[in-house]
Amino acid sequence: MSDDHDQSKREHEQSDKNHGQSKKDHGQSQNDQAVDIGRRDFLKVAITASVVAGAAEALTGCGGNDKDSAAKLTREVPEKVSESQAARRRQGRSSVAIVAVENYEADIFAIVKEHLKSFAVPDLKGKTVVLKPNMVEFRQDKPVTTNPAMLQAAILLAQDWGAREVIVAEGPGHMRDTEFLLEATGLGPMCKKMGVPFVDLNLDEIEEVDNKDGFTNMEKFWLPRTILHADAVISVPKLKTHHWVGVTCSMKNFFGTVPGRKYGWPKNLLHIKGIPHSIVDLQHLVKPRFAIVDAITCMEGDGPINGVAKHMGYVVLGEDLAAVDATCVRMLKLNPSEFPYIRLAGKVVGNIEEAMIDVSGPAVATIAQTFKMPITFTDKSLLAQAAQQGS
Amino acid sequence: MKSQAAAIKEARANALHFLLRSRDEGEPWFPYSPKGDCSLEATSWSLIALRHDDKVGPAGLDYLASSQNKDGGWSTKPKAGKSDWTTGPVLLAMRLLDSIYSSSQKTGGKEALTRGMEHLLDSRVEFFGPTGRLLLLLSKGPEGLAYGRGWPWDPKCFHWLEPTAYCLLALKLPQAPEKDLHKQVVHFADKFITEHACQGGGWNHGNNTSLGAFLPPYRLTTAEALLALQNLPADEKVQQALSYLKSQADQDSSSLSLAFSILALNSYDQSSDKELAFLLGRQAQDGSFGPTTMSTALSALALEAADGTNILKARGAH
Repeated sequence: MSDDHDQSKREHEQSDKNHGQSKKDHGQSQNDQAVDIGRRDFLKVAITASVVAGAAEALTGCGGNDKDSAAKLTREVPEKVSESQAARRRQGRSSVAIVAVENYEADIFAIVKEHLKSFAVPDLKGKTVVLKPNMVEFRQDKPVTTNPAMLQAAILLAQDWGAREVIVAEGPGHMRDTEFLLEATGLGPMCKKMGVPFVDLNLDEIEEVDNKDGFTNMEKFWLPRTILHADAVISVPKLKTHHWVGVTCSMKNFFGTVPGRKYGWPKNLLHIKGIPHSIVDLQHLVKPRFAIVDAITCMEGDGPINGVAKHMGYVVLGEDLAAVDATCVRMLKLNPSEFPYIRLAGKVVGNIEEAMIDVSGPAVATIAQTFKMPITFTDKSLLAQAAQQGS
Repeated sequence: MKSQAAAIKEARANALHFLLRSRDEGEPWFPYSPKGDCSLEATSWSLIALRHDDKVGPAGLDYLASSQNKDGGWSTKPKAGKSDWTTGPVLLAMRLLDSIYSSSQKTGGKEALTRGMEHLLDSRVEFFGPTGRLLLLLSKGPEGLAYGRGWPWDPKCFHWLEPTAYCLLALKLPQAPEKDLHKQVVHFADKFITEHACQGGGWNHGNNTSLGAFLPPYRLTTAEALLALQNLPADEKVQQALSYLKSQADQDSSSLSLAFSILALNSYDQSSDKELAFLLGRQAQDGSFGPTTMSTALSALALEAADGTNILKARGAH
């Protein structure tokens, strides 16, 4: 993986050099022969212009039908939000629990339950609770998805907190073959073992909802009935690096609630409309109640699919998903404000400032580890590819 | 002890009975999950599987025609916003059923089919806008415009493998396109798929590389692409994909990927005995295969292919 990463970087640097050389040549040509522009020069200009124009149009994926898409493919998000957008932000302080769990063979439920004795857990008495793990794709020997043992612990926690009914639901991002994914990842057998139904959100019945005050410019979203009618939705993600947004955790996990039957596999429209913008809009549409993050074995490098395993040994929980994700990012020795979607979430979802988050468990600074980040984290020019590619 | 042929016939009959029971009584449409709401994709695959039922077929054909959007395409269910990728499977079903019923029964499908095909041709991804195309033409000549073009999942997005495969099947079945325009569209969509093959063979959702890393193929999408490219049996990418698909034969998988694998291998006159054994082992007591009516419908079609009739095999392709 490291070799691939370095190779890719080298190739990109070489590409930059070539591009610079090309620009230099072109400038020289203009200076020396500006007066007599013959057919050959016209073609040179045309080729250069076509590349520029074509690239700009290709960014939209549709020949310029969505003219603001090019800007949204970068990490730029609005620094100012409207009053009505800001009004949806959580008020007051937030609490996040960090629980040490060495590995998946441990009794995760018992360890977490013991730790949460002095932590405010959600009251789920009599409620229908949907647990949303991450099952975006399957790669043998790569920690791409939420671990089945983590899902089991989440089911037991939801039941312990009073849930009348627990449903596991996910809409995989790349593969419509959910039957295969459930078996390959072990999440399907775990649902059966626990007697909990699984709903494929890609094929679930759908309803159209308003996206008032959203950031994607989508006035409406089609979303699965299972999500919209749940009393409480709990995000159960895997903590991973992510080549388009830096890190994927409890908020980005909700891309899997967007139905493939309407938007496809991958859910390309979310990329076209801006990944950070889509992440934040989905928080207000899904209205998650809680997050339980699998940060036992994480992914670093070219996540969320092609990275490599990185052991951390923690479960992170909380009801403010912005605070949970910001805390997880700090566990990677990174500043949450460097991540545009988290920065935007800090304005309209919840707390991301360290001073506003009460951590139950070890001090973040004492457990943080350096993660190898995707090449896109430092080379933002590559982000234009995001619209053409899946998760 | 039943013979395999008898077992295949019985399994298919049970699957078709399951499909009929999965919908609300008297309704012409099918849901993804039993007793759910309408899915026009599930309806399309189910109608293809049940095409010889002369009560289900014509009524289904009429229903698909009546569910058409004003723009000529179809959405995942009626009145579910703008037309999307569902147009491909719906047109495939309409063309296959129309070839059976149009001469003997009155259906409302003809006009809808014509409008649907027009929408299909108009809904391809442009990729380069008008300016880019003009400059490509000026700088490189006609070759500059010869880039692969497929179909998106959702309008205004990029082209991807599966919607392109579904639309290609709709254009190529029940017989290859005759109009020059259709042939051109097929050519560039074929090109899009072959250009996006994974290193070593096969296809995934449509990305063969990401940031310098080669991405692996999936079994399901490889089979879908192979079905769509039956007119190119000698193509190197097709041959590599067949090798990849055959390399998976000893592994059990989902009903959907096994069913598509059987249909694809059968279309290229390749053996699919192992896949068939795995598929038969997956049938539930109620006759279903996998979690959806779609996986059951495709399994019924795969069993029909194993029994000698492959409705997704292009005539004279090889």
